[in-house]
Amino acid sequence: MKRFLFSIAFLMILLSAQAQKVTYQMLMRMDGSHKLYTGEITNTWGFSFLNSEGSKGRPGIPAPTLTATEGDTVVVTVYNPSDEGHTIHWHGLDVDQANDGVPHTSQFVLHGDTFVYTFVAPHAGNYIYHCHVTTTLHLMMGMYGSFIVYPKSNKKMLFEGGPSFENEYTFLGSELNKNWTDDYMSGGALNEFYPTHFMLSGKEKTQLFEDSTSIINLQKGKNTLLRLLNIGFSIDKYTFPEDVIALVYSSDGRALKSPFLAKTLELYPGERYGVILNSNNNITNQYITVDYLNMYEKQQESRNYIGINTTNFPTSLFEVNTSTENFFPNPTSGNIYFENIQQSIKIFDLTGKLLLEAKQSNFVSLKNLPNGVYLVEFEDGKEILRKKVVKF
Amino acid sequence: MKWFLAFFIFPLLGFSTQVSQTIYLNQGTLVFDNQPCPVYQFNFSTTFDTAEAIIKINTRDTLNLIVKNNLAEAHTIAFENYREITIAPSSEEIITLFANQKKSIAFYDIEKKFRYVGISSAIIFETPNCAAFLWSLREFDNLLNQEVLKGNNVDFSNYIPNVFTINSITHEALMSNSMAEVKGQVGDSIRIHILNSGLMIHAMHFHGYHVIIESSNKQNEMIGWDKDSFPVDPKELVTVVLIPHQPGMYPVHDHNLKAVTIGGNYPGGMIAMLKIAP
Repeated sequence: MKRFLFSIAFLMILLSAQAQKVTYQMLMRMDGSHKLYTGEITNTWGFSFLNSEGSKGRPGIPAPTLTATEGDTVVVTVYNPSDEGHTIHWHGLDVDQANDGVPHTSQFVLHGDTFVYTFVAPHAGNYIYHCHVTTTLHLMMGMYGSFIVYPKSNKKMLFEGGPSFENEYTFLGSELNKNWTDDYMSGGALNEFYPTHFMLSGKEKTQLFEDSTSIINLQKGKNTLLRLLNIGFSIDKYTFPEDVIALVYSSDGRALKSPFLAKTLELYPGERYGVILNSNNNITNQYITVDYLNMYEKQQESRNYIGINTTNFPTSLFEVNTSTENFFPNPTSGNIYFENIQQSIKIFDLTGKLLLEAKQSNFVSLKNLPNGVYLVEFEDGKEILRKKVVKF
Repeated sequence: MKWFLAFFIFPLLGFSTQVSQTIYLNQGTLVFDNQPCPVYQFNFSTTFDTAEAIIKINTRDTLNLIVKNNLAEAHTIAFENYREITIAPSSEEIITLFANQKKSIAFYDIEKKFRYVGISSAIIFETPNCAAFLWSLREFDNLLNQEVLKGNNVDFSNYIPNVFTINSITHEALMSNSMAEVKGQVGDSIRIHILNSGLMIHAMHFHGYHVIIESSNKQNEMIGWDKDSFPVDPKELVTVVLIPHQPGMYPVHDHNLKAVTIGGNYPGGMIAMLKIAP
């Protein structure tokens, strides 16, 4: 009898561990804000957790990343206090029609309404959630986030039976037009949307180097997972450094039968990939380039850089003043210029090694340095400031 | 000997039929958002019809395709992996096509500007009674269309289309187009051929389901992948297989969200529907 009861209890524990209920309570809001790399603040719409203050009390870009484990029942309760109707479409999660978040085939969540989305988390992988009301506008305004499904047995595995990894990074590509986000009523015809800002998980240009969570710490000989997602209007083209092995294992939440080595990887709007990075070498000062190409003849619109390193970045060097743009251009292929003469301009690599110094000058040339990310230290007579610069 | 003929030769002859089909290259005007959009288009009738001619043939049949040119200038049409035919004004040419297995063949004007204004379509070879659909994706800037049809050279360098169509129709009308609205049942094997007849890349996203990419005339690396979002390049013809696991009504649309508009307004453009019965 004891053995029978023990078996039943064990079975119940096993079942509850395998299929859990994951709940989220969220708000649909039109009072968001987002800080651009220029330091300007623009208006956004978005999703935030209920009772969360978010970014300065307003939701930012992107919305919070949601997670679940394969087989979990996901219950997301949304409340819409904003002036317009919204929905959540669970992009790639193949939910039933009632939960699909398309207004004409599912439902609106109107002002003052609450709706409960319920579905089972499918295959482990990378997904997106976004508003599907006047999608061209609502999505551009910032109503999107990542949804990650982990395999049951091991969260450090891309999918059951797939590669394991030490650490992971998520980059969700998107764009916005500042004139439209500043005043969404000012935007013209929706087919004429042209992005002015090209982001990865809400960051662009120098912002990607001001936050250590956006810099890939690739440990020599160990796997790092890149979760790459594109919810924008452009093609995101990733180019990996020579010393980095990039193996593409999954796409759109499904394992590929034959993983492949990639030097470049293009993500089209709506696509997602799971990429394992590894390196046999120590890597310092390198980066992944992300080019944004338009959907007509793949003309380049912008570029971002993701820092990549096999050693730990010296944290102190990242305590930089980002309040203003002190020099330009950044990124640069040659000189950087300051508005005024600086007493001293020093260029360091990211390990802190001094590479160049110019005194009593308003410029310094990075032309002879290898492509990479560097630290610029300059003294304007009042204080010493440090910022990162990308040489390409 | 009689048994041999009865069992092997007669059935083969029975399966292989000569099929003649005539299509006409016509000029006409489509109207989107109250704006006229002049186009060239393949039709099944000698007068312009807004519905594009989409040819579906049984595998093992031999198609004798007659193409009549009702336009004022000669056009050279390339049948992918077959040959080109040049058709003088008010003339016709014939091309014979055969496929002993499921296959789709894109054909289009070799001149970009004429392909852009509508001279592009596909022939699909399918087994009898197979659930198969064809979506021809196209986008237009209606002012550029007017220039092309006037015989002027056009500059596509600042191309901003304002009309996005599937089978030359947009969102609302797509609901009643037999080749665009996909109807099926849970467990069916539904084949959807997607031809990009336009100049832009279109990134199609399926709601509710993943599909297997069965073939492509351009992106071989994606064949066999299980996807919900994938690009279709200009002149690309992709065949995907959908085996629905759940019933429901779901949209399929370009996830470059400029393309789900008509005249700059949402919703419109490239949004097809799946209607899957239990």
